[in-house]
Amino acid sequence: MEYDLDVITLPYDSLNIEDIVVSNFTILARSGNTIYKSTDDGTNWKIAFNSELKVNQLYSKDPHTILLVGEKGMVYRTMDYGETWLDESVEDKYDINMIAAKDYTNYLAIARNRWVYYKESLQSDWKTYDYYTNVHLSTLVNAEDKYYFGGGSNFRDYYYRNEHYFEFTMDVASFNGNTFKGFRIGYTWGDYDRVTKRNADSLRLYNLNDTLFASTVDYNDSYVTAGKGFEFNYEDYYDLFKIKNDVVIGLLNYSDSIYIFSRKGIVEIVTKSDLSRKGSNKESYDLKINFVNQINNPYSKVIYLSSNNSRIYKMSIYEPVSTIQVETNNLIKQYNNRLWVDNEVEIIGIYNYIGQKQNINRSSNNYLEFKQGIYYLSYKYRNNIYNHKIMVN
Amino acid sequence: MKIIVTIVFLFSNVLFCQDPQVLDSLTIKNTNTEWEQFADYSKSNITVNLGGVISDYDNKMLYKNGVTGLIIDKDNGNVIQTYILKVDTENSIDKRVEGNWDFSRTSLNKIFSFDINVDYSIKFTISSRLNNKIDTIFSHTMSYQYFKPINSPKANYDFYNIDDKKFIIIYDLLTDQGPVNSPEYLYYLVDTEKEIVSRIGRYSGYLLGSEYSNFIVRSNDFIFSTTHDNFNRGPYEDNDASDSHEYFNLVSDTLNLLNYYGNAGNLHNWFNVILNDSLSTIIVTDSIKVFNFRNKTVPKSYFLNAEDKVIAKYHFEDKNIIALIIKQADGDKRVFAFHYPSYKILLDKIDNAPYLGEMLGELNDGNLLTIGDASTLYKHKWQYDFNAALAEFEYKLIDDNKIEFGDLSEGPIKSWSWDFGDGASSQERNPNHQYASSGKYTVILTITNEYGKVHQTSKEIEAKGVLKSNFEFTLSQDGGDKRVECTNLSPDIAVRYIWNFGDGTYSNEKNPIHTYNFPGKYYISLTAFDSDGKYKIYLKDEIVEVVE
Repeated sequence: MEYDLDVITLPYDSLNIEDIVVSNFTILARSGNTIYKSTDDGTNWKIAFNSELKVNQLYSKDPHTILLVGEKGMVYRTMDYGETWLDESVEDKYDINMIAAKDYTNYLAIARNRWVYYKESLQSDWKTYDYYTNVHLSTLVNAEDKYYFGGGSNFRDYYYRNEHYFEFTMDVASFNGNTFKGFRIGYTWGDYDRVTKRNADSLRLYNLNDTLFASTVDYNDSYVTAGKGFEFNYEDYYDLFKIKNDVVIGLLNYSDSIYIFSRKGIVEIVTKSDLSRKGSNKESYDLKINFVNQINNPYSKVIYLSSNNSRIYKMSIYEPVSTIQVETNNLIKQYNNRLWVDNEVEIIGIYNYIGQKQNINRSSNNYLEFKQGIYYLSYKYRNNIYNHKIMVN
Repeated sequence: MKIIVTIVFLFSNVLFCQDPQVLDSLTIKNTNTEWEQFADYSKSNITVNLGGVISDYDNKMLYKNGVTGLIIDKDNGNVIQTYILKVDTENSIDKRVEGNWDFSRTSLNKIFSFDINVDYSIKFTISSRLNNKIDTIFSHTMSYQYFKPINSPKANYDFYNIDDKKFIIIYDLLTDQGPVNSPEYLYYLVDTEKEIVSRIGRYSGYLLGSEYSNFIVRSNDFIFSTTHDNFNRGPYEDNDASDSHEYFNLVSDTLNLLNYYGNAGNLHNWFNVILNDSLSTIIVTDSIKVFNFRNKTVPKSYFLNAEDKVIAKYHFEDKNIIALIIKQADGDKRVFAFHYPSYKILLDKIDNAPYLGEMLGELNDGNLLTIGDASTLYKHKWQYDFNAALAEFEYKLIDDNKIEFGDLSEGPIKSWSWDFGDGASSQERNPNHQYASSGKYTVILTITNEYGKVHQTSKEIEAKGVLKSNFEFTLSQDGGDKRVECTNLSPDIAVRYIWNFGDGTYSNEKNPIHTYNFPGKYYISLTAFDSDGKYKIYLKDEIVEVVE
C-alpha cells in the first residue's frame, strides 16, 4: 500500500476529535459537546453547534442522514451540514448513547443499558422498547437489514448438582423492526480457571459491504471476526484476526481485503478469506499517528482519521494505474502523474516524444513527478538496460 | 354471603338408579346434581377439578379433565352423566392424570378412546362406541429404529378429535438415546378414514407444567395453537429461553408451521381460548396480551403488577368479551374486561366481589357455570354491565384534503358507520377519506355495540393542503462539470428550503442551480419548512453521476 498522510489541525487547543463526518471538502468534527465545521477540507473552521447537554455521538449514514445524539433524549438532524439542527429528540429523557440509520428515513437509538428507540419512518413517532441488559449499550450498527447492538461483557456463576460453574459472554441483540433476537460473542463456560481468565470488553460492531463484523479486546489484544460468534478458546475454528496490544477502532473493505485500523494508528491489511489468527499473509503499516478515535471513508481510498491534539489525518491510498514488470518483478509502478521506482532499478534517462532528455529527479521516497505527456524511460536492472514508454494524462 | 332459607334439590333427568355401563375402556354412570341456592349464586354437590377442556355438543357440554368427563345439561347446569376412563397400567404407558378419549364432533354416542402399548414400538388403538357397540376402528404401530421409548411416569398423552374421522394425538415419553433419557413430545394427525398417520410436530425437552392446557384445537377451521416455554433442562444447566407461540393450520397439506412468535416474556398462564381466526390471549408474568398470531403482533397489552394473579377467566363468546378476576398482592380483587375485536377495555376496577370461580360456560338461562371454592360447581349471574356505547373520534390531516379518522368510542363496539359530510361513507373503524376539495365538512360517526345499542356523534372538520417536499431536476454538462437545475414542486405552504446536493454543499434558494465539480455519485434531498418550523424531507431516488 502506498499512501499520503496529510494533517489537518483545528485552530483550537487540545481537542480530542471523537467523531468526524466528511462529505467532499466539508468536514464536521465533534469534540465533546461541540461540533466544528470546515467547508474547505480543513483549512478554515467554525463552531457549528454547541450544547450544554452532553453529546455522545455525531453520526452519518450519508450526507442526507447526519445525526447528533446525547443526554436527555437528544437527537438532532442536520440537512445542511451543521448550519441548521432539526430537533427529533425522544420524549423519554434517557441519555442516548448511540444512533444508527438504515436509510435517511429509518433509525434506531440505544440508551443506557436497556432502552431502544426506533423511528420507522420520517412521519412516525419514536417507539420505545425496553430491552434490559446487564451492560452499558455502547455499540450499534445497521447491517444485513437489521440493527445490531451490544456492549460490555457478562459474567455469572451458578451451582448445579453441587458443582460451581462460570459463564462469560458478550451478548449482541438484533432488531429487524419487529422482533429482537440475540447471539453471543466470546462465549466461554466451565470451571473457574477456564472462564475467569477472560476479561474481554470494548465490543464494536461494523458493517462491511452489508455484512456484520465485530471486534473486541481481551487482555489488551484485539480480535476481529466476520462471524456472528466466536469463542476465544477456539480461535483456530473461527474467522478471528488478532492484533496484539492494541484496540481495533475501524474496519474498511476494499475488494477482497479488510483494512483494520487500530487505536495506535496501525493499519493491517488482510484478505477476507485469510481472516484468521493464523493469517500470516498480511501487510502492516504504522501511520505514526499514535492515537485514533474514529475513521471516516467519504470516498474511495480517502480516509479521515480523527485524533487528539486537535488533529484530523487525511490518508490517501494510491493504486497504480499500471505496473511495469522488470524481469519477473513489479519494480516500477505508475500512479497517474507519479512513478514509483524500486531502489534496485537505476534510471539512465527520461526522454520526451521528440527525444529531448528530461530533467526529472528521483525523490527520496522513490517517486518521480511528471507533467502531462509521453515519455520514454531508460533504466538498468541487473546489468541489463531496458526502455519503456509512459503516457501521463 | 347470606343463605336463603329455601334449599332446592334438583335432580338430573335420570332419577332411577342404574348400574354403570362398562365399555371397553370407559365407565359411564348417571349422576344426580343438587343445587343449594344463595342470594347471588347456587352451589352444587358436584366437585370438579380445574384444568379440563369444555366442549359444546348439541344442547349439552362435555367437561373433560383427565380420566373424568362430565355431561352437563345447558338448560340448568346439571351434570347428567359421568364418564370415567379405565386406566390400564399393566401394559401401557402410565397415563398419569390426562385423559385419552374424546367424543366425535357429530355424535355424543361416538366415543373415541385411545390405548397405547409400549415396547420397541408404540402401538395405539382407537375404539368407539356407537349405539352401545364397541368397535376398534383404527390401530397403528410405530417402530422406533434409533431409540427406545421408556415406560416411565413421565409419559403422558392426549387426544383431540377434529371431526368424526380425524384426530390429533399428542404424547410425551422418555426415550433412551444413550447416556441421558430424552423427553420427546410428538404430535400426530390421524385420519381413520384414509388410515394415515402423519407426524405434525415434535419437541425435545421438558415443557413446564400444564403444557396440554396450552394446546388448542378448533374444529371448524382446523386451527391449533400451542405455547412453548422453551425451557430445556441440560445435563449441567437449565436454559429458559423466551416463550414461543406456534400456530398450525390443518387445512394446509404440508401442515407446516405457519407463524412463529417469540419473546413474549415468561409464560404465566394461557387463556385457553382462540378468540377468532387471528387472535388469542396470553397472560404473561406482567401483562395480559391480546396476541395476533397471524401477523405476529401484540395489538393490545395490559400491564399487571408483578404480584397480581389471575384467579378467574370468563369468556362471553357471543359478545366477544373476556373478563378476568385478578387478585392483587394486598388481597383486593380487580375486575378486568375487554372486547377483543375492538381491543377496548370495558372495565378495570377494584371490586371485592366474591370469588365465584373459573367459568366453564354460559347456560341457556344466562347463568354462568363455574368451578369455584373447594372445586365445587357453581351457577351465578354475571353482575357487571358492559352495555355501553359512546361514540367519539379524532382526526388528522395526512395529505392534501385527506383526513385520517381514529375511533375513540367506548363500549364493546362491533360496527362503525361514518358519514364524511360530502356524500361519502365508510363502515371501517378507522377510515381515511380523500375529499375532492378543501373546505369544512360535518362528519358523523354512528356506532352499534354487541348488545345492539346505537350512539352517534358529529364534528366539523377542515380539509386543506399539507406541507410536502417535492422536486425535479435536469442535468447538463458544463465543461468538465455536471450542472443540475432544480425545480421546486413543494406547495406554497412551504416558506423555507434546504437543498442538500450530497457533495458537502447546500442551498436555501427555492429553485437552485448547482454545479458538481468533483467525481462521484450523488443524491439530492430537499427539506421544506412551513411557517411553524415543521418540515418534510424528500430524497430523490435518482443518482447524479460525475465522472473524471
